[in-house]
Amino acid sequence: MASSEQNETRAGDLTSLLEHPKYKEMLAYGFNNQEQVHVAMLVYLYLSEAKQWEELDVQPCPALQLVTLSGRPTQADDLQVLVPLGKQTELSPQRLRDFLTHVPLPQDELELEEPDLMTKRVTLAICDTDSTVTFYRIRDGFVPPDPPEIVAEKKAKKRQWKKRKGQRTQH
Amino acid sequence: MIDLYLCHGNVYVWNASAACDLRERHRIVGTFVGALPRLPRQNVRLGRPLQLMPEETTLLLNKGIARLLDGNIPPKTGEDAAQAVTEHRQQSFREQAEICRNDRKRKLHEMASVIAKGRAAKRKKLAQKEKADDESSSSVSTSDVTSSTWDEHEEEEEPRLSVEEMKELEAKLEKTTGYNEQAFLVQIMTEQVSEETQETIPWNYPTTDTEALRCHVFQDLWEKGYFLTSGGKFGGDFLVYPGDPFRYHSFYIAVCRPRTENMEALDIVRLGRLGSNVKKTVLLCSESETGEINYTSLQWTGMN
Repeated sequence: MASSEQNETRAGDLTSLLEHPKYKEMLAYGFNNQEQVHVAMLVYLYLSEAKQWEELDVQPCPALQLVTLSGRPTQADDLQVLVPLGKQTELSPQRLRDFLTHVPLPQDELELEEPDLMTKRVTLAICDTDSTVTFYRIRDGFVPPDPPEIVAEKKAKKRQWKKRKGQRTQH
Repeated sequence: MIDLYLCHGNVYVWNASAACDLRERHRIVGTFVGALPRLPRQNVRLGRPLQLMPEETTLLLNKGIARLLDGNIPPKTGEDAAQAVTEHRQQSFREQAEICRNDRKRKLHEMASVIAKGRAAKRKKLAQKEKADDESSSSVSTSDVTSSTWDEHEEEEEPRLSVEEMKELEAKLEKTTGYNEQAFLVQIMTEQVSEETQETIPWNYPTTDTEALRCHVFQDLWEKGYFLTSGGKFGGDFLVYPGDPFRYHSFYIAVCRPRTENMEALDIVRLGRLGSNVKKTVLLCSESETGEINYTSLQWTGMN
């Protein structure tokens, strides 16, 4: 994967990333944070292409001066809000609570009811230098871990999902 | 009021019922750090003293549940103290002698029927022997009569000791039960024999901001009804249990951080990963501007 010819194409790829329409859209928000926009772009590509999320969109968060993503993996899942961050981004407990307070809720959620800002769930999409992304969910208050029955259930579901995916790619 | 003893910077609870009380009524768990006298060569199960975390001590003192005493004071020595110990020991010996005597008496009464049977059997044997002797020397008729009536008499009732016989045996017992100090149990003291009033000593924790935050978080979680233990094993400050740690696994790993202290996003990954590997939620605890504790739960989503 690392031949000199491929190196040239890699440089070319990078340029094409910068020309991605979504990237341009994010830049247009006017936050002076190119690094975060870059990370947001990587997360966007990862979720839309690699994970094939059904719904995915970008939106600005002026209060935090950050780009955020919102979407859902399948139609059956709940809408999630994600904050892309580089692994070296400095975060304090206060900053995390700011995320919970200021991250914009997608429109349809707002229509439901007066949402208690602090009961929001935010997913941090933490990106490493090699573009690996890890996802962690933060919430206000106490979220007990899943009881053993649920853990077993989730494992079984995952196995099923992987199986189905495997079958799909075989076609 | 529960007594806590400060010894070389650590706080210990020595009294067994106090340790139970702390756990059952006040949800303070502590750690047992002493060897069990009857199971010395293992450390799976340890015994008293119960060592408390500094946060536990602070809480107990603040709530007026316990008082702090100096555990560094050596036991009193000198004439008075030696006298008190000797007297205590003599008293113990007297009590043990009494118990021993009563025990033997009781055994005697239990064995009464057996003794009686034994004695009767012996008499029978002797009688039969006499009969045999008589038969070989004198006339048959008289001895026959006497021995037959004797035999009948025996088979009719169960042999019992008469009151005189019993008294005789008891008197013998008194004579043979000696006062042997070598045979008595000696109590090894874990407390001073003489009662003494002790003055409470000051407790100097917390001193730094970090310590203060830990204490505040500890108290807040305790007031919410949780059981808390030290979180060192899981890379956090405290482990938070919904019930007694003997019965439950902990739900949360509490990590205390000052509100404005920066950490890298990578640290979030570290904490989150640790929590998910052990099936616990990481709880980021910080103090808000208004002084109350804010909790943020951190969970791995598993979307990778």
